[in-house]
Amino acid sequence: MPRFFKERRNVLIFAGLLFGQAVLLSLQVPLGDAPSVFEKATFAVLAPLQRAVIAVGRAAGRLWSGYVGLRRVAERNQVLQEEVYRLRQENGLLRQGLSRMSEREAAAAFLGSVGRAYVLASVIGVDASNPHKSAVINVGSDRGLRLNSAVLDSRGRLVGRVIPPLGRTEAVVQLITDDGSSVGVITESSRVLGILAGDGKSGRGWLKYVLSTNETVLESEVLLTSGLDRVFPPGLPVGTILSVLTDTSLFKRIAVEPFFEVQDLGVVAVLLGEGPDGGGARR
Amino acid sequence: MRRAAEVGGGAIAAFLVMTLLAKVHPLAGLVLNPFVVAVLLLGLIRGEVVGSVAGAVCGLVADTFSLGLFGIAGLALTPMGFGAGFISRKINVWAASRLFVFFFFLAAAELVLWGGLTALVFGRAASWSGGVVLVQPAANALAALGGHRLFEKVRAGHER
Repeated sequence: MPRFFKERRNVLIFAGLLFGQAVLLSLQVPLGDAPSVFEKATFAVLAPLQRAVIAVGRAAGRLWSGYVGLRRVAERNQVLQEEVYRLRQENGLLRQGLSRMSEREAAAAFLGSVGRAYVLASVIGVDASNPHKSAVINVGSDRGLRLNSAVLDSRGRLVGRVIPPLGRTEAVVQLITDDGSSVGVITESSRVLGILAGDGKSGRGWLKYVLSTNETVLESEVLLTSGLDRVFPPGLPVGTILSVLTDTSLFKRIAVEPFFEVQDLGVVAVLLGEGPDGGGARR
Repeated sequence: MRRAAEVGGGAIAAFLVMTLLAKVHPLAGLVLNPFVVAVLLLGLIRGEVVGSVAGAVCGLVADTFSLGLFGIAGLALTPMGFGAGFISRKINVWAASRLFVFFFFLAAAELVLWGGLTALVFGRAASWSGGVVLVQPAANALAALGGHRLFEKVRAGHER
């Protein structure tokens, strides 16, 4: 090896690493939002590890509860909590569905399929650089998840959708508070359509494309999914309007506070296709 | 081979700590970044080459579980890992107070670099999550200092 390279070996390795990463960064530009093969492979290797750590943590927690003599109480409590959670989900789905159904036959069909309309998942990780952007859940394509499946919190309120990379046993959820997220919404009482985009910073969002001449949108009004984006099923609660401002722009500046809280995302429900409100069924 | 195992082990350990932190509280990962701590320690203990390789690997792992472009965290962590190894050979940083200040400046520089790269690539300011992120350099420096003291104790025990 020439002396020049020997003397500057460390600096050259450093420069090579920087150059390699800059190339990696520029290679992604043509891919857009799609993850690269390298990113998919890293996710496939590390996501099960993440899942295993959470599982070990939970197992250790359960062992400790049993050790101090509260095992039965804890199990009973867990069963009841899950039951309450399921009942809340079913109740929310039933109410949304029934509000749109007038025929008895349609209602009966809806009730029959509620049991397979969603799957429960635990949140096993959040975006390290910004918890308002994405989360990782411990359920994947094995349990019927598909890209764009809608994700709800424990009270049936919209949290986000499944995005790539989608693993067999893990999935990434883009939260509606991510600045790259867009959700077709409608105001509950004034029935004004718009697009909800996250601000990616504070956990809030903006209701876009409401004309400044529109006077019907008011503060504290509830937003529901419109279903017009053909990703999220209609009627899911999304958030409330915080403030409505009109400036020189053609559109109003409407701030929105989503219903879900990042810190409360322990367990979520993913809507599956073929159910009454399954996002996939409408695509 | 041993160095590669150390880098891989450091990255995986940081990833596992990040997972546990997120489980404790979703915002905990904003206060303490285990990837920064791992890169600082590897750079200081094993030198600038291992530090910069650890920075690249930890950055890629961090970006895999983060929306956005793959490589920005690596570009910020790599110079920090190199700096930790290179500067610590040039000046005496081994006293606890000096080491804390040394780690703090490197962690702060990494945060500024990450924010600058994010602004440059995306054309908008990075998210500082209401200022919570600004606590990160001090928390990272404190954790790295604790990690280094632990490493020294373990090494002294082995030598005895």
